[in-house]
Amino acid sequence: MALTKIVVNCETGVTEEIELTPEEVAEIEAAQAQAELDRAAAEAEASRLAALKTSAKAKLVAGEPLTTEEASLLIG
Amino acid sequence: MITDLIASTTVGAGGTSTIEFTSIPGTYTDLVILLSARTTSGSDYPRFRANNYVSEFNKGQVLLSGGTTVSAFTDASNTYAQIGQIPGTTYSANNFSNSLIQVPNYAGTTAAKTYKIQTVFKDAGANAEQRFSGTGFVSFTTAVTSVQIFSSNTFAQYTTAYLYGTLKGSGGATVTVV
Repeated sequence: MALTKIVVNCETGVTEEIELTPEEVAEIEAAQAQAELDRAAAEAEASRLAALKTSAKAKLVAGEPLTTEEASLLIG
Repeated sequence: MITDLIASTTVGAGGTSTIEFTSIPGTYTDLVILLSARTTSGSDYPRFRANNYVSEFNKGQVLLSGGTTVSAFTDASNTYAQIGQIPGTTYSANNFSNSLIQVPNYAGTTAAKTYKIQTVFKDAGANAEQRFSGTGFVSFTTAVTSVQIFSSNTFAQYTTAYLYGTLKGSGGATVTVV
């Protein structure tokens, strides 16, 4: 099924449904791929920091030396 | 403050990938878009842009949370602002997200345009949730005369978009658009 767009002209009040051009389809597919990359990267970084924080707490309790990043994560 | 409904649309049975408002009057101080959306795919991440510019959205910051963890990222993709996740077939039937998109000073011609976007949905069936908050600005200074919400998938039937114009100040008389 062809992708379409709904265009609402605020001046005339006319609403049209128009089939997207191949260029528009390619553009929004690229945008979709980028959006998913951004989201995945953000979620991966959040998971990494959570794991680092857990590791830092364990080291602190055990009296082991922390890395600079772990120390920064704990005390800012 | 005065708020007027400028235009609205509801997606029909065939769905659509893009909702666009054109020829927006420059008579208000802010634009506000309320979007209630669902996709025909599992879920989706639609985007927003103004004036169909493709290289001007480059200063966005996003906070994203799907539970107790909050992640942050820079929305520097240059072509649009992300809106956040909307539910689809992965989630309960008839579950829609709700988004608020605000573009202050949209009709000005000297200052860069700013925007803020908030989206939320909560799915009881899948016990899933998504909270999205984004702000940013664009580098173009021309007046915004069109806005576009688009997806590479399909917005489902009954997705609705309402475009409001807000006139700040005492009846708008005390506000100067720059």
